Amino acid sequence: MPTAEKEPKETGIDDGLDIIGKTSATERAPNTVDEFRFWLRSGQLLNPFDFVAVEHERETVTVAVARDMELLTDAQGHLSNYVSSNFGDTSEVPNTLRVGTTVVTAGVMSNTGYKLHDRPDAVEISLPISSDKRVRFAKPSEILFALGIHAMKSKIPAGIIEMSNGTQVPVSVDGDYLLGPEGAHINVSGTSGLATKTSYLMFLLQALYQQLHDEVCIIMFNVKQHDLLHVHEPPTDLSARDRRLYESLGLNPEPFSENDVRYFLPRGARGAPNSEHVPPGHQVYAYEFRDARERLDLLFSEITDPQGTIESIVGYLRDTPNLTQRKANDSLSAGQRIQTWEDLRSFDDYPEKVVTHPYSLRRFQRHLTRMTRGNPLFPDAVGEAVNLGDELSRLKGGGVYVIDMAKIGSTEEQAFIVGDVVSRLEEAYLSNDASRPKKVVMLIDELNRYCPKGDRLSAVAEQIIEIARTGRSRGVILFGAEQFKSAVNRQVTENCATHVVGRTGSQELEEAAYRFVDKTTRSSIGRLGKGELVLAHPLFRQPIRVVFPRPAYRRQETQ
Amino acid sequence: MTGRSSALRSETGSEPSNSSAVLPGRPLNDSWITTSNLGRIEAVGSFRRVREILSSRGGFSRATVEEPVEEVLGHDQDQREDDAQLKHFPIFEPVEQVPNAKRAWIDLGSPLPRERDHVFRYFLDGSLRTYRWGEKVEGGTSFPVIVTELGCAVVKRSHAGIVKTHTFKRRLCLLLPPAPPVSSDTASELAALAAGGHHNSRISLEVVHLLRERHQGDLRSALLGKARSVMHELEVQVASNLRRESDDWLVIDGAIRKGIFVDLPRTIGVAKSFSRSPLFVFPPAHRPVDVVSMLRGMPESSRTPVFLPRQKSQTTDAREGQRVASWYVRIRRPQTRGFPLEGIVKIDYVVEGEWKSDRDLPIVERLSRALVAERSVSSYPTPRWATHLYPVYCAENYLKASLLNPIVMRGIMEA
Repeated sequence: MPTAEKEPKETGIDDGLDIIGKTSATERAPNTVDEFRFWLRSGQLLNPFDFVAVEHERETVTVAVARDMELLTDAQGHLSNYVSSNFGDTSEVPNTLRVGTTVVTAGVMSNTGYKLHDRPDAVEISLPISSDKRVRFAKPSEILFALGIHAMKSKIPAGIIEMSNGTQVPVSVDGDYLLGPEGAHINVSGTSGLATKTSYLMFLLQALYQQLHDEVCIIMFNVKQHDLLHVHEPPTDLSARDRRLYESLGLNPEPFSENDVRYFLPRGARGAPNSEHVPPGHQVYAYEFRDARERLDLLFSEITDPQGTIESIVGYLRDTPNLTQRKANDSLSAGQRIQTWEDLRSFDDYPEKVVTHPYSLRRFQRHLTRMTRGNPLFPDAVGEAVNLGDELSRLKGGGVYVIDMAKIGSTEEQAFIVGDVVSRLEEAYLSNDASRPKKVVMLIDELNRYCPKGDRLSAVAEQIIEIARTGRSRGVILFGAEQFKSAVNRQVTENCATHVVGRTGSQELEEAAYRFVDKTTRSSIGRLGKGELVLAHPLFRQPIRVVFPRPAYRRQETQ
Repeated sequence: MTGRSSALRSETGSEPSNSSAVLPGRPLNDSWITTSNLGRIEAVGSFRRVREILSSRGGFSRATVEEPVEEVLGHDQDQREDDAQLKHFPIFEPVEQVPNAKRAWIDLGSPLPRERDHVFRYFLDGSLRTYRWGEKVEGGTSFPVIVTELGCAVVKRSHAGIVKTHTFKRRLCLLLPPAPPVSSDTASELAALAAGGHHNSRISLEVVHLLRERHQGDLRSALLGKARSVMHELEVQVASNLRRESDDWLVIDGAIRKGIFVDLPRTIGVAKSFSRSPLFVFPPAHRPVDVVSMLRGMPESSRTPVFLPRQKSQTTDAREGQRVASWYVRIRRPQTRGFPLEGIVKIDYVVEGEWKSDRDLPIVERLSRALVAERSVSSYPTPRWATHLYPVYCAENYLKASLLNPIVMRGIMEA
């Protein structure tokens, strides 16, 4: 029977805490090893992702997370309610309220376990929870236990669990699963416009920066206006709540140190930076032909090349360091070395096995001209601009490298820059440089742009996939973000150990990329609020919902 | 739970010479209603010892465990009991004037919802599950042995309209014929067993013997009737012990014409189904009208006049009958063609002393309007939903969930 009155407190599991309901197992909805159901006390507030605890066998406690909730009444059908309202009389007032309750499905996270012989760790009880067991909100210590945080060797603050009863629990992810060697990479997806994805990754990067500092170096690509061009500046939009969250997470609400941050801006007209904002101490980067010769495949990665003719030419250029025009033409003299983009655009002395048809060469030259002629990013002489690859080959621990490419309109050029950085990191690993930081974390926003799903892989996509596959052991960690996870190559997403999802449309959530969360959780993801994320981590048996403070740097929307 | 203070007690009320005994067994508690608690049911010991007694002297053939509970046979017990009661006073006369005897209906106007006048606060229902345990063979004869588990629940409705269980009582009875055919040895052994029992048990197995003088015809039917009689006793006991505010009314599911109910204050019985046998006379006409003729066509939210039985005899039952006024209310319009009585309930109202129109008719009006408001919400599509009051339905469901599962009960009996 429902009751409006509060149940008296009882001794036992509640230990002074309110009982919010009792477990319920039925013929059609039995409790299982992975989940159980409980009815909710009348008037009790609960939300999906709240943690609950229930007494189990041998005085253990099982901690679970609320996944789904259904309001049941004894009406056998909608017609019962129609009839109850005097056959559809909308003015009819119910004299008695129907018997009804909210039934919650909770996913089992962990059991506190019991001592068995000389086994060092407590042995978890996986038996399904019995019916009629009292349920209460889990205590912070139980939540931390259930998430396995007590066993983590390297704790990286990852957000705060906020429950309906007001409990706040700071949670961490295991560094061994975020940065290797057990697992690696993190992927964040969600509807754009909520300023959540990038903010979360930046928050996490700042946590890494503060926790591990010299062990990591951070490379981030700025793709939205001047979004990341102020990461050394103090935040102006942190609320008291943000500061409280930082405090509970054990982090300082401070930006990256000015001494550690280096901004790289693309070269624009007359050698000036081509950026929305020019931070102090920046450097301009550009690519001469000699810098790009070995990576031209990246520049042409967006070009459809069914016959492989461009690939053949690019391969020849890569393998021929001393390229020389043997026979003079309108622009080049005989014996002239090819050293600039202008030289390359005129070069036509390819072996027959490389260019089998004049049309192929013209096509290559047409695309090359379109991309490089008059493009200040690809000058014949870079002047004061630096070679990005050279700079990144000298990474240092604690360094934060921001590479701006927001005003570069061409996806080909952006892909080239990303691909160049990735390949430089690969070379740095192969060089076995002892001074290289242990971990290099690379933030790539709009990952679907550089590594879209599909069988046809561009050169830059291959590079990113390679990092996703091997980065765990090589110490190159991908922090990727995109609006739709399904739009990213599955080799990347499936190699990510940690997934974070913000509010996402129901149609997108039906895609295979989201199968790592169950259907009811997917449904809850569609209702997440701003600043709320669902976090799935290898050590967590169930996805959890976290909130996080705004990242501690001067953000674009506050300027 | 029913606390029993004596090992062997004489039953009071309408059947004063019945005997009931409490058999030994360790205390039970209310948590024994789930199969997972089977190990805690101490009544097992009581059944085992009774079985030993019954198995001596002749023998005791037990029914198969698959035999269903008697109530699944589905007789309309409310109507049966109403029929049985009305055999004493089949003619009724109205206590108020009606302008047209052929359309003896009084418009109630708008319903009286809880929010305006919360009349009915308590709703009582009784239920039982009866099992044929077997046949006792003794002295060249045999007789059935019946076990019944019966319960009574009262739900209370809050001002917010939420119902909650207020009281729940349970009894577990072994029903036997009187001696003979039960031998005096067997009866005394059972009595001795009861005398040595634990009388502080919260629930125990009681032995109830059928009265010799009431034993007519089929013994099994008589024992089943006795089970219902014990249930009504429990209902009265529960109703009598309710602590109610001065203006709180109690609704009992079914008729309350039975004499033992008539001392309950501010109580009405609401019958979902009722006897078709009574006749109604509207003076000065002498020709009686039957129930169906009188009620057919009665509009929604209207009632019949209040009736009292025409007094012909001075028997106890007849005198008690005079203290119960009855009338019919249509709480919802019939939705099914061919069911003229659909949506009509019969109300039994205990009159304080003698009927006084100026005192009682306003009460009748108030109760009737409040009853019409009880149509929302409904238990549709359960059987008899059109006349089933939802709070009573809640009490009934609570009872169903609280009484032992028949499989468990059979297990206890055979353990």
